[in-house]
Amino acid sequence: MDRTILIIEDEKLIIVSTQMVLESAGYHVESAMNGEDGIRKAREIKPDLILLDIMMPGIDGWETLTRLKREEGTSNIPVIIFTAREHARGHQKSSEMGAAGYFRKPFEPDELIELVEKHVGTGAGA
Amino acid sequence: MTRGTGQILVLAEDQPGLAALELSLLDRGLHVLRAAPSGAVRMMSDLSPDLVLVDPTQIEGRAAEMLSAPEAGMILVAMVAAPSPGRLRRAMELGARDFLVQPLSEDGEREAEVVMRTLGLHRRKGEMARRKEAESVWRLKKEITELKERYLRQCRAFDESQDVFYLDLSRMMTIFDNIMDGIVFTDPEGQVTLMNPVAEDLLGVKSFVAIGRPLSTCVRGKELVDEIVREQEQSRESGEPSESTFESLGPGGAVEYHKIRTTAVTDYRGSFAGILTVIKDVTAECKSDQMKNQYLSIVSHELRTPLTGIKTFATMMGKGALGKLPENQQRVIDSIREQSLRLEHEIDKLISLGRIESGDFAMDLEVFPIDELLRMVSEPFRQTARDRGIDLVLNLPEESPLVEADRDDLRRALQALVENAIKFTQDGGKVRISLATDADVLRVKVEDNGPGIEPKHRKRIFEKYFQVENPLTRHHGGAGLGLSVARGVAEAHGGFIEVESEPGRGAEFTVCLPVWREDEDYGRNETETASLIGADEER
Repeated sequence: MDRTILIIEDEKLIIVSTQMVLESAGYHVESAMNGEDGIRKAREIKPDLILLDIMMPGIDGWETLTRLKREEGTSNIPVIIFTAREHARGHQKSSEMGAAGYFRKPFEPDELIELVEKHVGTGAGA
Repeated sequence: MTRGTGQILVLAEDQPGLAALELSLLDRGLHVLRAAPSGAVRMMSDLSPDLVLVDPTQIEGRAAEMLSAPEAGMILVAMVAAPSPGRLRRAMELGARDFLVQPLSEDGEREAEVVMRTLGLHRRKGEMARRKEAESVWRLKKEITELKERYLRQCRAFDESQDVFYLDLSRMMTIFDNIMDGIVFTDPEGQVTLMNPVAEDLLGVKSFVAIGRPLSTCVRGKELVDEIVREQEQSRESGEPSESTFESLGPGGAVEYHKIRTTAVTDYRGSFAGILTVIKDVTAECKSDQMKNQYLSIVSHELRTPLTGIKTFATMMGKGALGKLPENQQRVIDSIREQSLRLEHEIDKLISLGRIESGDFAMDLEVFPIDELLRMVSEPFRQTARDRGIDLVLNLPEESPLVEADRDDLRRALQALVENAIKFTQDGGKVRISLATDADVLRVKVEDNGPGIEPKHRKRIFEKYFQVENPLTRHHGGAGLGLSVARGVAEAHGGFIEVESEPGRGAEFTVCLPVWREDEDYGRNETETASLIGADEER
């Protein structure tokens, strides 16, 4: 069965391009365009990994991460923070808050695949 | 016959020739009195004679003392019967100036002349002494006059310097009262001795309340004062000026920033005389800096989002994710990818511009293998290098050390070096990036075979906004921040940067960073990165 990756990101362009990268490596991709929808979807589909943006309308990525980690059904899903902004102590903060990784945009497709593989294993088609 | 004036006392029993001598002396204008030697003391104290004629053998005790005392001023002429060494010695002991031999001559003329000569000699000596005395009195008067003049001159000079002093003091106090920074002086016991109006406003206390009291007791509960007292203690202990920017909540609940600088003051003997504290409200500057950085951060986010799309699509298409492309399309798509990397580098430079003033580097540390970063460093410049025929080489050892660093900062620093090397290398030249490492230090070297750096510029190239004219293009390029950013980043990571260059033979920049290691000796589970700068100082 395909490994499922959930992208929570408010920019359609980023979703589409990231989806292209992950699908090329054999992953199944789902997406949500804000934090609340993302949490709901995570609860429903139980993805193998979540890519989470920080700057989003409504609840931001940090708050989304806190809620995901608080909820029993989603707390075990590895979350990789996925941001275009530089945050002071971003790496430490994300790891303290329970994120599995911290990744900067723009990214190198190969590096993203490597990171995802590290947490959930290779995609079905790869 | 010589004549004179004076009182002659003859202390002798009557003897032949004595009456004739007395007459001869009277003839010469002298007053003569005779007494028996036994009445010598009384006669000498009553009369104070100028000259005494006496037989020394008949004088003793108190009378002898009176005769020989110089302050009595009496001249002794001894009358000796048959001079013998013993008698003459006795006469000299008593201070005799001359002597008459007994028996005296019948007319007394010879003896009278001896008396007159002795008296005259004594008067001449007295004259000389008086003249000398007059001379020294005159000299003394002259010295007193000079002293008086000197004193008056000094008084005038003192008055003038006092005027200058008061003028200077008045100027200083005007500056002190009108300067835009708060100034507080405290004595060695920490009590306030001086405070200007700006300091009064900043600390919320009037100087008449604060003076003579420790700052902490007159302004209670103000965080700023606690910080000032801490800074003062630091300056007092180290003897060095201390500076910090302090963030606190103002009276209205708004965040305020104050720059505090404390300096130990010494007196003219070099002893500690107190602390000078300067307080400046830098809220506006700090807020404007924050706004600038926030703006740059937003702009960079806005630029990075579409760039992520372009770069990802171009990379995926270039890899054949949408099917294999014809050669010309492959070239175009590769070019789009490289240009997107270049744009990413330009956005990075925009971020550096915001950070260079605040020096906020190494704010987001992570541990990673350095070769991972080095492989990406040259990417944005590949196309430019290819277009200009520059051989851009990356030499990496098989094993790569780990480094604890802010990945983005370090990438920007190294890219600044590579961009610089390419800019200053002629077409067809060579730029080489290499990594060398030992147990504690890793060295990333960026070398070029361009025109090199003039020795006069070598020290200044790391200064902000400093630019060397590019001999290849004869104009400046960029803002002159790249090398300054590189140095700031290296130092913020506990490392440093070196440059070697000979004009005409290229330049070689080396970034030295501590190798990250898991070290239990540091007494904690977390990892430690030793500072090369610290290690250097210890050596």
